[in-house]
Amino acid sequence: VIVAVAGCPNPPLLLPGITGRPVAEVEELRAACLAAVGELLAAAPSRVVVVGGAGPGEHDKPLSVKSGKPLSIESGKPLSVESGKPLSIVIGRQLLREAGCRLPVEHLSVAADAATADCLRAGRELTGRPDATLGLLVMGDGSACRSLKAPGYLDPRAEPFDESVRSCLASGRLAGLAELDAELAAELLVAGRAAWQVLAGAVGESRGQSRLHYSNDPFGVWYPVFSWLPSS
Amino acid sequence: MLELAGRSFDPDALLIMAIVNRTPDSFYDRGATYAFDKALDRVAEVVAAGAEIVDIGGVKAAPGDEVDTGEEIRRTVDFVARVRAEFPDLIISVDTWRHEVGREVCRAGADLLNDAWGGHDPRLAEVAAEFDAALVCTHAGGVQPRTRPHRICYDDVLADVLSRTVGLAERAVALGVSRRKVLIDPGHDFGKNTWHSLELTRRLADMVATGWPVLVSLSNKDFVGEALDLPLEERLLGTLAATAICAWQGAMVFRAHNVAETRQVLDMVAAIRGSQPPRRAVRGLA
Repeated sequence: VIVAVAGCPNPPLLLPGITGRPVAEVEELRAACLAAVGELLAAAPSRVVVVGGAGPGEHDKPLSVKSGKPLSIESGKPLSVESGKPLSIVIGRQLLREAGCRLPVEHLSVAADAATADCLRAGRELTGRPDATLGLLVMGDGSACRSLKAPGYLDPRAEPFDESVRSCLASGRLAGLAELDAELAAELLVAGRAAWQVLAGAVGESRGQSRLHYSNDPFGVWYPVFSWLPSS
Repeated sequence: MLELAGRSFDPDALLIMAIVNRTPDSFYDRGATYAFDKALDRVAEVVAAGAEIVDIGGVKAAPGDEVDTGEEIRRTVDFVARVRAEFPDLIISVDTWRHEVGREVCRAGADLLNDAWGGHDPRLAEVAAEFDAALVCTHAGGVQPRTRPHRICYDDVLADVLSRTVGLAERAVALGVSRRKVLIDPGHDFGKNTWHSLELTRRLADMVATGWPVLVSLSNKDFVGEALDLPLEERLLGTLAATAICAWQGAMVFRAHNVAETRQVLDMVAAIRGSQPPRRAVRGLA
């Protein structure tokens, strides 16, 4: 049974030290993520499952963000990040570490282009497990086409798409995420669609209360941060 | 490890020594900071621009009007005392070859004696030892202070620079100067033609390899002007190119007129070298 959900975006920017010196916009986002993860942990699940999308080839290759020589600001020492896992999972685990999580952590990565039906089924299988009270940390960000300087340039369809996600997250009606158009999401470089649809499958029609901790696009990519607790 | 004014610096530190002239006739600023208040304004300005050290000078390097010891003391000592009082954390250097001046400025609070004329007055190192001050040991080719090089020849300019500067450094340590407070300086343009200065810049890594911290004084000098055939006021870019080349090879201290520009170049070198993280890396990471 799911006792709490937190959702965070997974830009490489959240890897510690990767921005060089701290960047204000990134630190604001990180603080929101840690607040959401904090609510997840406060619900005292017996274990946490990080759910994240995986790009093509992300399962077996080390992360490209490890190349170069990023430094952590405090120690001046090179970063050590997990390699060999999708970026979304690495960042989710990193946020859990930063939030002081001592619970068992598992992860479920889904191909970023997985069919909606497959995502929903994966979510249902997650909750079918009788053994545990689960906290889900769902990694996903929205379109990358929200401005002329955005990674995917400006696409007028980006804002309406992100708004449809935002309204699901903010209202607590997570089942609505099942309706997201996978093809359009791919065109808008949405990295969260598959993971959000796993979430929709896991939660189903359960009602809950949502809190949107962050919703902004400082670099042209929409980053939602939310937490969700089932209604008792 | 370099130690200045009680602070330790790793070999990958890149420090700026800003030039503050209390002279009416120095080549670059032409007396702009001769007046006490103007010089004090200059100190505040270079500190804000990122200089860790100021190098206060009372005598221009090139030949010109005689400045005797008394006049040099008048120009420097009270000023050092005032800078010491107003900028307690700033590293204060004084550019002098005279031990009498060295003694008075150390009493007034100087941390470092910049002996740019290559140990011409052997007693200056004794003063550094007496006051536990730091010392720059410069190669000036054995010429008299305030003279221009004339038909100077070296079999191997780098070998001469290494033997003289390391010799001066070892002598200073033998006299009691702390080993961690001695720097060596190849002395660009001092007792050298442009070919010499360019070669020393090219081979600076050999100087760094001695293990002594290396200071370079490149700012707007004639070797830059001749390399590019440019007048004084157009030598900044050439100076900055030489600065980057020296920093890359391991020089630690950069004596400079143009502090903000030099800081930017050194920060860029540090970022490329990986000794300092970029200030804001977000490109491609959103």
